[in-house]
Amino acid sequence: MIHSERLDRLATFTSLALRVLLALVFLFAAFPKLADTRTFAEQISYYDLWPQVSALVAVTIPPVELVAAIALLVAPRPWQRGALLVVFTLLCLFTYAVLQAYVRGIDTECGCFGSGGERVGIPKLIENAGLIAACVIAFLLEPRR
Amino acid sequence: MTRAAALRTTLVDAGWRGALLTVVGLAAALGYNAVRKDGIPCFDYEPPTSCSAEASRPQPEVGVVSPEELAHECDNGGLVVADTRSEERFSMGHIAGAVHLPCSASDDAARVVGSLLDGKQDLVVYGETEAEARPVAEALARRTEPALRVRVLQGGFQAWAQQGLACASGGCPRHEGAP
Repeated sequence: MIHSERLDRLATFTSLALRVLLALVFLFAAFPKLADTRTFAEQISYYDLWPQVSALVAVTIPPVELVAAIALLVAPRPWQRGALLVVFTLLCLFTYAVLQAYVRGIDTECGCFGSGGERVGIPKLIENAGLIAACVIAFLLEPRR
Repeated sequence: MTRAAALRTTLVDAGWRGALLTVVGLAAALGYNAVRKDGIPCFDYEPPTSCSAEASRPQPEVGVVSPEELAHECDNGGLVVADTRSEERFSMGHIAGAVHLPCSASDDAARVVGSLLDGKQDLVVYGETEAEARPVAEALARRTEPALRVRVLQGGFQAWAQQGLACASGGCPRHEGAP
């Protein structure tokens, strides 16, 4: 029983730590892009996926990141799980964009945290994979009560 | 309730909450963009065509062709030979059959070249020297179809003339839209 309680506490603490980590990453990602949406739209167009919707994506992504990050920190537990799903989906989309740019040899800034940041490449893919794993683990460890 | 069923229920619950959070975020995004002074148009956006954008695109390969090899390709109907030198130098002497490019590979020049290259598969670019022509060739390679093979003449016009290969003289014809 005590062993089980300890495991539960460990799971809860781990989930909390991962949620805070993801929230901070997305907060730091959202603000620079909100401040300079035009540059973010240019960076998205460099990925050469759907350049014509670069502006729409640039306008909508940062506020969604911000809402998800805030929900991860302060929303009631059921909404935190919803926010984890949003973060997971966004990370999958970002990872796809980076991966296709890398495979096609497009050398561009990631645009993940505004301008002047990391470039597309293996380190960014590994970083994203880590964040996706954090999402999944946090979701599975969330208490169901 | 089994673990799988519990997880499914949790996922469904998280799913609709996540969708709602996304809708809230989207509404906030569009509203904020509408009221801010430096909001950008969501649907009429033109991706940039500046040098910084080009630097972020993959650099297409620009090959090299020697004067002898090029001389053997004269009957290649899909080939365009482009001269990047000044009009004055072009009129004094150029490779027979070559067309004149405006001095810089600007957007206007790219449109002119686009019309010249319609239906062609091969482009050879030359200047007085190879080094002079290479930046123009690279810029054109970035702006034209990937299927077009772009090459630079090894040694430039100097090497062509030194080998006594076919030259012509006369001013360049005016192309519609050329600067």
